[in-house]
Amino acid sequence: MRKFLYGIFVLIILVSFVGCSQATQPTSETTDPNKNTTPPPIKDKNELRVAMSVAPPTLDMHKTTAVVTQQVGWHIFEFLVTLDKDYKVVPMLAEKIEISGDGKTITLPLRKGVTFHNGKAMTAQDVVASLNRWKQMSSTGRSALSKTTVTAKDEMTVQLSLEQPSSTVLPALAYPVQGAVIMPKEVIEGADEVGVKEYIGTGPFQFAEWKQDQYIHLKKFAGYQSLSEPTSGLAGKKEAKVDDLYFIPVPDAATRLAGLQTGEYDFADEIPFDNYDIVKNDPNLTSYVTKPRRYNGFIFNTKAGVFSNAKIRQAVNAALDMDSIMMAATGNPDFYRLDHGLMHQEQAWYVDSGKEQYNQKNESKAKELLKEAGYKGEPVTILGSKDYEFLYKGTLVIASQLEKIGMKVNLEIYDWPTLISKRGKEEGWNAFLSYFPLFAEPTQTIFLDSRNNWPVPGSYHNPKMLMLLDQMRATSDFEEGKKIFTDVQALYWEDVPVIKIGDMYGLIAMRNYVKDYQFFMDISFWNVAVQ
Amino acid sequence: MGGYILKRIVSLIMVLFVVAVVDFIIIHLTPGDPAAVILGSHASEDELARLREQLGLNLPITLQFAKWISGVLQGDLGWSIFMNMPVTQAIYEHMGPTLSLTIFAEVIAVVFAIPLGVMAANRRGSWIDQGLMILALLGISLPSFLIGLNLILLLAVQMNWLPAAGYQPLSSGIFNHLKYLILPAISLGIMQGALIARMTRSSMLEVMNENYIRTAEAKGLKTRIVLYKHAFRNAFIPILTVIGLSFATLIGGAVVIETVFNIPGIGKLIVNSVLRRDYQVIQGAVLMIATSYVLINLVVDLLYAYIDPRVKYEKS
Repeated sequence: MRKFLYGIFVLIILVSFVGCSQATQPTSETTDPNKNTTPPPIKDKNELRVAMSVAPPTLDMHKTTAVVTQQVGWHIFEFLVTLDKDYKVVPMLAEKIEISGDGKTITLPLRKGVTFHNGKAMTAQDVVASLNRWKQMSSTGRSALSKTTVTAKDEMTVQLSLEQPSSTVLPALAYPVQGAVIMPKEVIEGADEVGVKEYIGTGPFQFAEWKQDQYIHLKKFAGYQSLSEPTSGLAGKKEAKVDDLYFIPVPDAATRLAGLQTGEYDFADEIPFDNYDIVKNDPNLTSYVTKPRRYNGFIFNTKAGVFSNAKIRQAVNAALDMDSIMMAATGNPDFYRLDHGLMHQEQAWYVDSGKEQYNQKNESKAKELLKEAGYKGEPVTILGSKDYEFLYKGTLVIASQLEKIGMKVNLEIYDWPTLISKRGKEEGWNAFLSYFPLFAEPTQTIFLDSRNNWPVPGSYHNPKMLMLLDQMRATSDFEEGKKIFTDVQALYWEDVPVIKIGDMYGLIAMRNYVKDYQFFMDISFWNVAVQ
Repeated sequence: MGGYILKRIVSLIMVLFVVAVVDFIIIHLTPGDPAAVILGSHASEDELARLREQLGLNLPITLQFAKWISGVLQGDLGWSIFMNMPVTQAIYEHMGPTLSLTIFAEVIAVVFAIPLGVMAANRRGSWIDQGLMILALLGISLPSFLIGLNLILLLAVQMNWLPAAGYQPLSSGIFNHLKYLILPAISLGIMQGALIARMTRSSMLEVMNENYIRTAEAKGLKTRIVLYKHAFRNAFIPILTVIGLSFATLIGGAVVIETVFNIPGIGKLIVNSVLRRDYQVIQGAVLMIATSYVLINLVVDLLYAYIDPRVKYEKS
């Protein structure tokens, strides 16, 4: 008996070691391409394994504003028009963009020979069905297309009839977050309250499998019809250079990094800034600072409570020292940029108005404004969440800066879903720090237009702002529109429904064999190869 | 025996009902809802309200509970809004990794802990005993994620012997399967092993003061026979309890370790579902864990009778 037990013990130890030595011999791995095995240190399979920080709620891009849905979805789905590297709207599934002389008709002939992943050829019927669904579901769609009818002029031409000329329709169609992607008509008709039942698009990758909490697997779409023009931003040539693309949710940042270092993943998104040195010093890894990517904003409850008073908001704006907030959030000046613009410097819409209101660091002015506004030490509830480390740290610094000008701050820390649900109610909160993705054009900025009812119905409402926004939307001339935007931004900095804190970048890293990686707006993997 | 089991099962159902009610109330008292998670943080209130209505989240809470519990009684644990599949299927799909991990961790724990515990008891007071108990204390005190992260750093990142994270199903080959489980199983096994080793030692010490042990020794039996045949068998009941409890704990999903190693098991399912407010998955999974907890306890109690013939349930 004793010998028997001893034998089993030795056997277990041996098996463990055999397991270990197996791991050190990558060449002995099976290379069956249909099997999902671990990639060895040197890439011998034409696949890309991407570690992401969250899992998408759905891949139905019409449905959600979640950025992660777009990160996966835009490999599967495509848009009629898209943005080039200068954020200009250019055709994608449309062959060209024709705007009538009075600006009230936009005609979009479709590219011929484009097929969906199910083999069906794309027609104007599919586009009309897709755009109508999107218009119902997305706030960008609703505000841009509310007075627009989408019709199929013929089998391969889509026509948008506008009540008045508009500069926002095309950028809205091109904007990727909760974007106007084209799906087959049958898929749209089969959708229920949860979303579409199948993920079928025209993109360079097709949906293969979603294993909950493990991975989303996309495969190269052999029938993809690429544009021949050179790649520019999201436009031009797109090619699936890997056969398999895996999106793997790895919420733990340390695990994401460790997995990248061991070659378990080929690419990792959202590497914590603290790990910049580790990534830089690892000879197997290439790091990449993604910019522009988002900006951080301090969002007020303008509907109820202390901050419904614009003077008090101005006081906060006068007090804030943006550099120390951004520094706390990122820990490294390489990862942020102080900028007052609602649009990013890289975008043609960028204007200078309101600059003097940004980053004032003027405590005495802030105190003066508080006195004028009649602030009597009412407690201010700021919501925070540790789910996003950079927001949490930024929130702490903002809170201490508000205390310095004599505001009574009450910090409430929750998990992110709780925070989101709290901020959806009128009462119970006064402000929170969050971030905003890149917008394709200024009127998409969600907090400027009270008709978006964000963050709560009845938020910031200034008739002059609405008038300016509508004027902008009705102006098809870019320079003219930009002039109006100058006024919009100046008015925004006076009313400050949200205080823009600064542009924040992201840190991504990949194995050295990942080639030709380009970042534009968000992570994408067409045209990316492994060697 | 039959009567005893019946009695236990009746009380078991009562326990599970209480669990279901408390579970439901706590989850629904937590702010946040699945609609906001699905639509993203920039969705407007109108869209949220529409989705809430479509998903039936606007129904009175008592009605929601009644609907859910009547489903549960018919074996239907509900529907996952987020994963768009029945909760039973979601649990089933996440059960495999947790079971593998649990069994592997438990094997590591038992294989090391029991011989070491016996050894410590046999040499009570010696440096071996003290050293082992210090190690056991460390094993209990060190958080498993700390052990896990250090193992990743050492064996995966530095030595590149084992994968840092992830999971491969058994169908991808036994070695591939185990390769991914070694580090998480060790991280978990250390803590459970430490508990079992301490229990083994103290239970053995108690038994070794008994007269029959002295008799056995006086008969001139070999130490090993005395230890394992006479002492250990009698000391085993409390050890078995600890093993059973630790197995039940692990079945519930090692939340932290599954997160650190990105293993798609029950623990991760629950954490993700809490973050997504996928109510019925949380309710279903908690109920499932509670069920396995009480069932394992029942099995352990029944095993007592098998191990120790003196234990009889009929009369109790």
